[in-house]
Amino acid sequence: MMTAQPLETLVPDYIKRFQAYIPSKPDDELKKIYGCSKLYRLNNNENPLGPPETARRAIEAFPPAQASIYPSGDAHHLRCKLADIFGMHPDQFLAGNGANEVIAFVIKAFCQQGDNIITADKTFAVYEWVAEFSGFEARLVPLVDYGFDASGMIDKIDERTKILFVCNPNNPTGSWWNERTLSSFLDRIDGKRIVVVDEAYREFVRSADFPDSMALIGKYPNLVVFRTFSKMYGLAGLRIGYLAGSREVVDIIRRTCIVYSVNALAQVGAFFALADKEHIPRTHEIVSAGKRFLLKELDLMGLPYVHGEGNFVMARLPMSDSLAYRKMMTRGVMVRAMTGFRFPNWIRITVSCQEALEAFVEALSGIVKDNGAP
Amino acid sequence: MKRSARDVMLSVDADEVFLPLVTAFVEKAANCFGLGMDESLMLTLASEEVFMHLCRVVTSSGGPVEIVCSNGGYYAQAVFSLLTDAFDMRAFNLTATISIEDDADLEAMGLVIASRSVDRFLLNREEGRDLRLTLIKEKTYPMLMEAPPAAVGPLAKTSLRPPGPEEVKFLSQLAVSYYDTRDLSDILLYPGKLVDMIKAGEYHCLAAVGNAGEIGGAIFWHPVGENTVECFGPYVFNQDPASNIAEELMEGCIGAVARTQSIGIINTRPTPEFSRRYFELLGTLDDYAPDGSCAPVEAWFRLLREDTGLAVWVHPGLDAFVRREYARLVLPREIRIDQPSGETLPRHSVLSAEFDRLQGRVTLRPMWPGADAEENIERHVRLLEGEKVLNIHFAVDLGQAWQSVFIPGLLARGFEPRFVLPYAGKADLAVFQLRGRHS
Repeated sequence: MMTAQPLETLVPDYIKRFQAYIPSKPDDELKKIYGCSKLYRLNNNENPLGPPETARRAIEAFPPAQASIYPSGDAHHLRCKLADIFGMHPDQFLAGNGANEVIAFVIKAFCQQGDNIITADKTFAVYEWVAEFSGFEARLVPLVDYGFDASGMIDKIDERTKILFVCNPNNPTGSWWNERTLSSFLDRIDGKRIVVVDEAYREFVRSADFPDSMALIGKYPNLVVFRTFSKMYGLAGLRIGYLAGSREVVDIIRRTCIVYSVNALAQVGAFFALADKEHIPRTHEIVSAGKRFLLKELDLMGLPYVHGEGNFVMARLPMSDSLAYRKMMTRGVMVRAMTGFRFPNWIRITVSCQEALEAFVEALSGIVKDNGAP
Repeated sequence: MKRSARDVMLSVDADEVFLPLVTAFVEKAANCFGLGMDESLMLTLASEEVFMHLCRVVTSSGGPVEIVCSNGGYYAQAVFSLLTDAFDMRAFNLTATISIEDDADLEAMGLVIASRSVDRFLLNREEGRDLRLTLIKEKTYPMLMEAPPAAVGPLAKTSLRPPGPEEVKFLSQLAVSYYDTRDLSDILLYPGKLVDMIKAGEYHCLAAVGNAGEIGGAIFWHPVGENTVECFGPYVFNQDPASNIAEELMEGCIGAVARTQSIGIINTRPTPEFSRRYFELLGTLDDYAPDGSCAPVEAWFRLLREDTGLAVWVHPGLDAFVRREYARLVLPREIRIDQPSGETLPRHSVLSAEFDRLQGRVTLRPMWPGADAEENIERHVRLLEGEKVLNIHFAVDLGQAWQSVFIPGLLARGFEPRFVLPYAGKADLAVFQLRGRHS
């Protein structure tokens, strides 16, 4: 007979403290729960255009019989393609099941018990989460003027700091470091720690002095760059992202990399997405027009907002963001409530197509009006 | 049950021969965990009575009893776990009395003694009939000493950080100096306990501190249950009303819990500086004071996550109320109507009673269903009214269908549903208040 709770004794304290991330329910469930017939997804910064035409055709042509065959265990063809595009060696790239997976690869490769990582307090949560549920300390540095604070991050370094994560452009504020700031930061780190620059939104950037981080890898072998196919390339449903770095660093990360974690269809979609020359300019047009519309409407509603590079805008509401989320859902519009990013009363809106943005404006203005003028 | 390296464990058969071992184990553990002599003996006495009772009623099942003692910083606890279905928990009601004419009552007398010897007890029974009985005895702390009112001057610039132990005690003085008792958590009147609770991770605080370490304000919070955080404040001491300290404290508190397992924050003692735009009004409670006055107390809440829906079990007598509240709060809920339908219930129900002496308030909660649910409510109300408790509340967990057995009795006895507290139990809690003044 068993009266004890052996499971408790098996679970590390850092796991007991950790709260599992609960993703949104599927759209059909959400529509049922909130009683809406249509749902505009403005919560995950997806590209309203979907995948590039080249990727779309490749996905459609994917032979079903190939589903029974293991994919390339290390996304061989995709890595070769990336090497061609960036003028680097294929072994400088590692693909993962979404960029989230490569975060785990890097942390596992360099951290051991007692080590810490450094990032911002109000940024993409996964660096912090992976560190904490792996038993490592995540040191969080407050944003300054909604941007990463280079000096603040350096001040937090101690002898057990292994990795510094910079989200560039920052999700959710859109702030970004230019080439000079990033180079200066890397100079101050002096090759003694790994610096990860997460460029999930790089392809949306229009500013000329945004750093060419791939080129910087040659000068700074401790630099690791993340990219994803989930945002600009519209392949979020297939889960594929990658990292790039010096061969020496990538060789170490590869040891923690789970082979075969990227499925064949994702590899094909990503490979052909890179070939499309029209997709990015078309998306830029949609995002530019959408942002102009959105910012004008937020101005008319009198709501403060923050934006920069990337296909998203963050707005401050005169009410709880989680309440606004629920009210918006009943009107068929899903935004991201930002309390989880430590921005209480803010929402993040994906800059999507005009129809979706108009639905958003109509819903939000009604909610703000009901709540009283800000 | 949390188990840490600080826990100590004893596993014995439910046999009286082990009684000296059990009592020595609990007493020594309580001593090691820092309880005073009197408190250690009370926890030992309670453990002795529980163990003796277990020996009498569960011998036939023959399983071992596991006793885990833990150090909670400001308290020590003893948790008894065993597999049994032969355990009448009636004695754990606040109202339990013993009749010397009744053999069954006499058998339960030990449990009555146990329940009165500790500060809190918890009963859990999981599927598979694993009974877990937790006895908690707190250390004794002195109340805040009489001292001249503490003061602080206006600060040009502040930053937020957790205060040190001495600063926590000073914060208690400041809070008492600048705020009415009704705005305070009673924990602020016991600064030593607050320091220990913060050290144990059961309370948290952020202070707004000036360049020279002056304290301009503070906010406190602590978890209540697995999913909810209760916050007190923000308290702002003699600062420029145009300063942003209150908002910074509130954002600091929300930010600190935003990525924890908590789903919501509640504040039932909003100070004048409390910014309502961060929260949603759940409803009000009537706060009766000894001087005969009555003031409405607002309950404010905010979710920390996007709500993706929940199923709740609702008695028909509560249906209209919860539907209205869910619609008002825009909370998506699948409402499942449920009521007792002749199924066999245990004879005796159990209610827990959580006292807030400072506020003259008690909150009753179902711990065990029973055929006597209505009578049990009535007994508790009579007892509490006899003890001059002015504010009697009752919380029903809508995530636990068995608790609906208490609804007819609540409504019949004059309890009114006042608000729904999202995610504060297994699902949402329906909070009732007994109508009128009770003294």
